[in-house]
Amino acid sequence: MKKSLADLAIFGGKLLFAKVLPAGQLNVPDWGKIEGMCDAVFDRHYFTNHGVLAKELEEKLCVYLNVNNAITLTNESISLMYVATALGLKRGAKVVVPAIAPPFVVQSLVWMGIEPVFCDIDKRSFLLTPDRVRPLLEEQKISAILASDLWGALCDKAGFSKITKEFDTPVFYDATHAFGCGASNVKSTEKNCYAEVFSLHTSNVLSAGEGGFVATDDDEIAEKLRNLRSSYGRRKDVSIPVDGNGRFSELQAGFALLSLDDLEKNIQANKNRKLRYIKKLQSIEGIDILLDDVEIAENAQCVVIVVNELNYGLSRDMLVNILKAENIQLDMGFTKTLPDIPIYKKFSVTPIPVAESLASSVMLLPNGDHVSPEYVELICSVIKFAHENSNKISNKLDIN
Amino acid sequence: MKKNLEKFAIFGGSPVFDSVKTTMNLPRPDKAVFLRELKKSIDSHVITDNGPQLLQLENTLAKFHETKYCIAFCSCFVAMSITLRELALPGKNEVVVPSLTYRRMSDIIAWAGLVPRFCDVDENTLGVSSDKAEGCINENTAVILAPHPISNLCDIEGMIGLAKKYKLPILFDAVEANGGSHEGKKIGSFGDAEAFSLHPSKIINGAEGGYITTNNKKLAESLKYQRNYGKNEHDEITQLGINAHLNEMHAAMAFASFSTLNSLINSNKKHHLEYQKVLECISGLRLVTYPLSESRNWKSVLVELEESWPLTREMTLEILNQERVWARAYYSPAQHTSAKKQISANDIAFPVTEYAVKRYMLLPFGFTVTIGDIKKIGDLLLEIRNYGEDIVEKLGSGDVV
Repeated sequence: MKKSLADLAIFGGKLLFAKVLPAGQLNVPDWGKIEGMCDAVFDRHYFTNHGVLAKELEEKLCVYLNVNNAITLTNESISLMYVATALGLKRGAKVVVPAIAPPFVVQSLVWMGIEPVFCDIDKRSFLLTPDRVRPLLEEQKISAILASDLWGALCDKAGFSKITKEFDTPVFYDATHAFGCGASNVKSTEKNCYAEVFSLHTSNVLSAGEGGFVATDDDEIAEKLRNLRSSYGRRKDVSIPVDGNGRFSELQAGFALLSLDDLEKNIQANKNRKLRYIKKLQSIEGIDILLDDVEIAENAQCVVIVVNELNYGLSRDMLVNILKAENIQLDMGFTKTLPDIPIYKKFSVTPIPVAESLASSVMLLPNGDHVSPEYVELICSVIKFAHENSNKISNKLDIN
Repeated sequence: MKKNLEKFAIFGGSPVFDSVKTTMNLPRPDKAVFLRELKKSIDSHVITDNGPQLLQLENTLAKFHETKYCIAFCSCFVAMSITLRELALPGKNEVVVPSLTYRRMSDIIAWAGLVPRFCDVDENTLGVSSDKAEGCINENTAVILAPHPISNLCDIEGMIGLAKKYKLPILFDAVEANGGSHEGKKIGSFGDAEAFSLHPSKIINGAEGGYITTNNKKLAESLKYQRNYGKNEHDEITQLGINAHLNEMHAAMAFASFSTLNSLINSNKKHHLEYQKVLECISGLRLVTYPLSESRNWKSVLVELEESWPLTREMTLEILNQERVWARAYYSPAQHTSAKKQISANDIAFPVTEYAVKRYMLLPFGFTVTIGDIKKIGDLLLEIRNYGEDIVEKLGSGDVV
């Protein structure tokens, strides 16, 4: 526990964590089960090319999400590129994207020569909404919309479905934070959803170590994705503008199947940690906890707080620096709006006041298998201590 | 032995093999090494994103290839796209590449935002050579892509000379040549960079994966950033990038496979020499041999069906496949006839490529194939040769099961 300013690592005190406390979920299945899975892969001597485990995983994901197709792919970047390709998006096409989203979401599009059109987010939900997108569709020739289920909060899919019909513009979703949230959200009798891209990266609640998959009810898009992935796992040959290589190995599939077995347990652990954070932080002036209703972002993988500098006494960046100095790794993916990242500066942008305000004040706290209840207490105690001594810290940081 | 036509599986006989014999190398990594390494990753919860397994593998491979840098990726396909994009001269968009190559080469080039301009290959090596490639170079050439053909190497010095002459970057696709040497120097350090695969069909099995070797520090650094969402060592996005990480499971697998490489190559050589012995007595088939004076991986059995062979290559493959001998065509169709996007030029002819795509095949090799199997495949090919004219006649009558 920090008792004086000198105890803070930023001022030379002992680090709260001797080893880096990483960001992300980083859940791993039980070693014995992983060993058994690897044994079976070696026995079959079949390592990739859409093997039995990849098939089993896809079947289970379809059942879990109640969706017609789940297509496993190398990772989320490649999944996004292949969905864009399957939707027929070409070099130079304009795609509306939220001004705050995981940066890689837009990188995949820009890599393909697609031009992002950044759109501000909604003040209450922090998501892209049909109302926000509408003016852009009325003004410009937009080829598609990529909405993000940011931090596990789900976009208004019915609303976007109407937009799709009205403007004949496809909408697809970055659902990388959202596995296990509103599990039936993909399914839609209206087929209002072209495709949802999930990440199986180790930072998410369902993990293949590394990987991604696309959920879709649209059989035509699904088959294009299978064709893009490789010749293995195709159900029929369909026309695609370019071939790809997005294979998902048996080790990835085996890991993800074990992770799926652990899903409920991991979600419950996330909820417990998140509730502990809420309990400890809610009394601290100037700290707002977003998505604090655990029924909203049901996988509870993201613990998102907003720092109100006026009330907290320190800026978000100062708090980030204090925690980083204690050896706490923080996810810095949302501390800038996307158009503020140098590689995106060349793209035009309409005013994005909501996104700018959020990006200057938001941060994510560590949440995962490796974060014990004691660690949560320790992190919260530093946040509390920093608030209680904000004037002195602020002065000392200024002098330094 | 097939005593009469009906014995051939294509005419209703039982197949020579109970299980399929493939052309994939499918090395078996050392399981104990793999599990030992993987357990470290699981215990530390580090399964991807530049972890210790990746570093260990990259150091091992850089040492193996005698290069300063090795950068591993989720696949060789992605590795090559990223590298081509990085090497390409700004403002130019053409890639000079031979037509006789991997069937998805034009797609790799397309994902790099570039367009192929195809050339023919040398008739002795079946690989690209400077005299075949030079005619394709023009003011739009962005980069040269020189794949090593199966068994031989392409004209390394000629191609490097060409790149120097026109001040062009050059990437060698060394997927098929891994483990080889040129005048005693390991493959891996030629040109600006070389690309390798860790797919199980190759000699180092990472389940999935690929890697680039280079001595160019700036290139190595940029490739590392680009596979990590364009982030530099301070975690700031400084350039365009995607997720192209080789995860720790695949890195551990590749490392465990690397530990068996020498014994694999020795066994490959033994098997290949057995093929040589068996095929010597079959006229009409010519085995492409590996030179004994250089290091080679001996992993592919490439055979030319000469004029005197009684059947077309397609017929031959069909008969073999029915016997569960999964021989396959060598690089067919030619890229200049199949690529969705390319710069076509009327003044370039492809006589060698057009012959090779019709007259070469790869015979089964690797994990699924024993010395005894090779003898059986030899016997089968001899039978096909001996019954050749009768088979053609019967196939022509449509009398196929």
